[in-house]
Amino acid sequence: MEVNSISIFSGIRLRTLMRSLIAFSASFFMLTQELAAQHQDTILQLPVFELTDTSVHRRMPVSIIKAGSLEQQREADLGEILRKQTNVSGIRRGGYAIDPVVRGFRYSQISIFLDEGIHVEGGCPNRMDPVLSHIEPEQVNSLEIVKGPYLLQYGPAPSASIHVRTRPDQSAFNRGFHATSQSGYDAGRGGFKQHVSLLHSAEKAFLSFGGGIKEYDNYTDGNGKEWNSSFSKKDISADAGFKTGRSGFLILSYRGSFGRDILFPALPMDETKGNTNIFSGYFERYHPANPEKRLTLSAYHSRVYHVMDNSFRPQYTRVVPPYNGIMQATAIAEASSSGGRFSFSYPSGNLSMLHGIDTRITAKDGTRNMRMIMTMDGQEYTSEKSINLWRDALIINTGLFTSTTWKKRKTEASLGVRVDLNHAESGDTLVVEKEGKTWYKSAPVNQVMFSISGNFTYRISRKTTIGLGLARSQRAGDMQERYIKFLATGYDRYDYLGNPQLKPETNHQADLMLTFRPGKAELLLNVFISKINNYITGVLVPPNVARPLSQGAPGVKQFNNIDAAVFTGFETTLSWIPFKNSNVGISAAYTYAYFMEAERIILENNQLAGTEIIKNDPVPEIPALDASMTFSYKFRKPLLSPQLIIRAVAAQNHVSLSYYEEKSPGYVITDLAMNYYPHKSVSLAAGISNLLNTAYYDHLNRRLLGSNEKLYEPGRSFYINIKFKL
Amino acid sequence: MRTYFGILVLLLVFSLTACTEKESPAPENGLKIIFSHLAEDEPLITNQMIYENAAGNPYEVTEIMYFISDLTLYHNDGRIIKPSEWEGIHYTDTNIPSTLEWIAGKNIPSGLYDSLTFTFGLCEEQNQSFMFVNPPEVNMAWPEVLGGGYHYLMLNGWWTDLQEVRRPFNFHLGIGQIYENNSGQVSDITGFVHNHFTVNPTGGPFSIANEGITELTLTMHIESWFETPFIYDHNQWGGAIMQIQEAMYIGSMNGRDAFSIKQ
Repeated sequence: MEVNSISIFSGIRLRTLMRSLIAFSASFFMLTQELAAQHQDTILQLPVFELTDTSVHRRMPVSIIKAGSLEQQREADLGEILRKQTNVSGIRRGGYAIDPVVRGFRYSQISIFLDEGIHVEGGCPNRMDPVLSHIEPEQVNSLEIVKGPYLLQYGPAPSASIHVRTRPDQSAFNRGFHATSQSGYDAGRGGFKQHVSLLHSAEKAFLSFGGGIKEYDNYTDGNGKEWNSSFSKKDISADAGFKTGRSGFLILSYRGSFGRDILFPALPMDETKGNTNIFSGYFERYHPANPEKRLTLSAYHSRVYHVMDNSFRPQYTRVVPPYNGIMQATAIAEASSSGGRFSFSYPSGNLSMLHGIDTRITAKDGTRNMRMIMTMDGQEYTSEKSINLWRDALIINTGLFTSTTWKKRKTEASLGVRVDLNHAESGDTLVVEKEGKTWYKSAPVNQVMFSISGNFTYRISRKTTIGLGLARSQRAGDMQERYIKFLATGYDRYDYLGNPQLKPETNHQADLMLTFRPGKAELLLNVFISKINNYITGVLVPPNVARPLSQGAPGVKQFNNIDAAVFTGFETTLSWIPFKNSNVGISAAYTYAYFMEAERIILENNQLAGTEIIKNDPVPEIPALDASMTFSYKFRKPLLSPQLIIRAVAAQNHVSLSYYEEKSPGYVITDLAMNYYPHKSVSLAAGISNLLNTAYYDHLNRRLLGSNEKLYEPGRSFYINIKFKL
Repeated sequence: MRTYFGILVLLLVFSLTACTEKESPAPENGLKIIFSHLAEDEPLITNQMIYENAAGNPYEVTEIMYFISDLTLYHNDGRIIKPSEWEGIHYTDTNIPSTLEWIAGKNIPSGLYDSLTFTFGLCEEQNQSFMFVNPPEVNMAWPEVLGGGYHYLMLNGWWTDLQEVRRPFNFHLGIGQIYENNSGQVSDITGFVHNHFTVNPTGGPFSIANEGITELTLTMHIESWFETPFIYDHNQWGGAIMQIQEAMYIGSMNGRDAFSIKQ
C-alpha cells in the first residue's frame, strides 16, 4: 500500500487542522502586523547545511546549525534533525527521541549540554529520553557539533560534544517587543506543532516566555505499514535578564518539557509520562573597554521524572502466546543534575586565555515493578516483584580547565587542558557473587581523569588551509554503565548490569583538516583516527551468575572495559556556486570502527557451545557510508528558494561478529523543500520528504520488539511550517 | 598540496587495512545430555489412552515439562565435578525438541565416572520468582501466593476415572503449602514445603572423552512417578494437586527412581 500524501490532504483531520492553523496564524498576523512594520529585522535565508568559516571552524571539526535552519525542518525532534549533518546519525527506537551517534560514538561518549554546561540526565534506562529529547527545536538558538574531544571547557568531552544554545544572548536587551509564532503540519503522520514566544525588553531588563505543543500520530513507512510511534509533547520556557551595571548582566532561565504517551515499538515499554524541568542562572561581567576580559558564573538544576510501562502492548491486558499469563511492567525513574561553572578569560599578548572550574552532581533513582497474572487449575493468581533500577546513585564530577589560543599571521593554535575528579557511589544493596568471584558490588569510587587537546591551523595559501587536531580525553562510566540493574539498554536486547568498578575510557584522537577554496567553491576534508583504550561495552555474563529480567532478553551482559577500539574515517563537503543564486552541496562521510580483539560466544539452542576470539571485529552500530547532494536556487522575486536533496547510504556489511549484528541494505531517498518569504514578517517552509516513498531503514534503527524486523523510516510526507515574526 | 593529500591517503589506507579474522579455538571436550521419555519401557506415545499405572488408572500423557539443576559428576578418582559453570539449570519440554539436548558443560576432566546426581526442580535458594521472564521457562511460574518460584514438573494428561469419564490431570510439582486445619484456602497458608529432591539415576559408570562431545542419555520412566515407594491414584488425588502437599510429597518420593542414564 502506498502512502498518498495528497489523499491525506483531503481528509477531514487535515482540513480541520489546516483551518485552525490558518485561522490562528492569520489572526496572529493581523494583530501584530502594525507592530511588525516598526521593525527592520531582515529574514535570513539559511540553507539546510551551513558552511561557516570561523577560526574555530578551521581548527576543529565543527558543524553548526542555527535556529533559522531548525525552524524549516519537518522533523519535530532534535535528534532526527541532527541526522542530516555529515557523519551524524541516530538510533531510532520509535517516532521520537532519536539518539544521536557522531562518527560512531554514542551515549556518554558524546557530551551534550546546554548553554554554559547545563547537563540533563535522562530518566529512562532504555534511553527513551536521550538528552536532546528534553529540548524542543523551537527553544534552540543554535547547535554546535564538535566531532572530537576538543571542547574541554564544559565538562569532560569524551569523543564528541553537542553544544545546544538556548539562552538569549546580550542582544535580547533593548529590543522592545518581539513575538514569534511557529506552526507546522506533517501530513505523513498527522503531526501538528505550534510554538509561540514573546519577548519584551527595556534598556536594563528583558522578559521572555515561550510555549508549544506537538501532537503526532503514528507514521507509515514506504511499504504502507503503520508503526506505533505517536507522541504528544508540551514545552514551556521563560527567561528574565537584568543588566548589572555598565558591563554585566544576569539571566535567569527556565525550560520545561512534558511528554505523554510516547510510543517505542522497538522497546518493551513506552513512555507514558516524562516531565523535565531545567532551572539555570547565568552571570557575566566584562571589561567595558576590552570585552575579551570576561568573567562568567553559572549554575543550574535539571530534574527529570520518567514513567514507562507496557500498557499500550497487548500482553498488558490479555494472554499473548507463547506466554500463558498477562505480563505487566512499569518503571519509574527520577534523575537530577545540578552544577555550576566559573570561568574567566583575558588576552595576553598574542594569547587568549581561559581558565575555569565546573562541577556536576548527578543523582538517579528508579524502580521497576513486574506483575504476572496467570490462571491455573481454574484460579487466577497474581505474582508481583519490584526491583531497583538505580538506588540513590550519585556521581559528582569536578573539573579544572584551562585553554589558550594563539594567533599569528598564517598560523593559529590552541591548547586545552582539563583535570577531573570523579566520585561515584550508590545505595545499592545488590551483591552478585558466584563461587568466590564478585560480579557486582557497589562501593564508592574516586577517579582522576586527565584530558588535553591541541589544534593547529596553517594557511598555506589564500585558497588552502590545513589543520591538525590532537587530543587525549577521558570519561568515567555513566549512571547506566556503573549502576543499571537488569534492563535491556543496548541494541542487542540483552539485559545489562552495571559495573561500579569500571575504569575511565580513554580516547586518543587525531584529525587532519583541509580547506580548499578555489573561486566559487569550497572543499572541506577531514580525516580522523581515534583509538579508545578501556572501551566500555557489554560482556556476556553466564546465566549461572545472573538471569535477565526483561521480556525478550536472551541473557545478561555486564559493562566492562575492553582493549581497545579503533575508529577511523572521513568527512568531506563541497559547496559550489555553478551560476548566480544557485548552490550545489555535496557531502560524504564514513566511519570504520573495530575492536582489536573481541570474544564471541557461540550459542547452540541458546546454550553455550564455546567461545572464539575475533581479531579486528567491527564495533556494532556503526553507520554506513553516507553521501548527500543538495541543489538549490534562490529566486529574488518572489523570494523563494527551492531545494532538491538526494541522500544515498551504502549497505552496511561491516558488522560485528561477536555481537551477531546483522547487515543492512543501502538506500537512496529524495526530498524536495522550498522556503518562501512573502513578507518580512512571514516565512514559509514546505516540502515533501521521501518523495519517492522509498521503504527503507537505517542501519542504526532498532528492531521491532519480538522480531528481527527493523523499524522502517517514515514514507513520503508533505509538510509545511509557517513562521510569523515581529 | 600533493604531500598533504598523500599523508591523508596513507592514513586512511593504513587504518582501513585491519581485516576481521577468527582465532582458532583450542580443542576442548564437553558433555551433552540427551533427554528421553519412556512409558512402560517404550518411547512415550502422547495423546493416546494406552497406559495404565500401578493404581490401575488408564492414562495418557499430553506433555511433560520440568527443570533439572545442580548436575554433579563423580569421577572414579574421587573428584566431584560440577560441569555446569555456564548454565546450571536446564528446562526440558517434550513440545520443544531443542530442549531435549543439553550441553551440560565444557572442559570437563576426562576419564571414568562412577555416577552423577542432579536436583529435580530447583533448590530453595535458586527458586526465585521472576527468575525467568521469557517463554518457555516463564510459563512454569508457580503462583507467588502458593510459594512462588517455578514448577519443578508439569506432567499433563488424561485419565479415566471410576465412572469411565475421561478427566484431565495436571501432575504438577513445586513448592507445597501447609494450611491451617487443612482448609486448602490460600488465606490459611501457614508455611511452605520445598519439594525438590536429588536424583541418582541408575545406569552405572560412564566415561568422558578427552576431546569432543560425550553424549549421555537421561531417561525418564514415566510410570515410575505413580509407583515406588507409593502408589499414586488419580481417583484419590484428582486432577489438580498444586495445593495438595500430600500428593506432591508422593510425587517427590516416587520421582527419585524415575531416571536412568545410558552412554
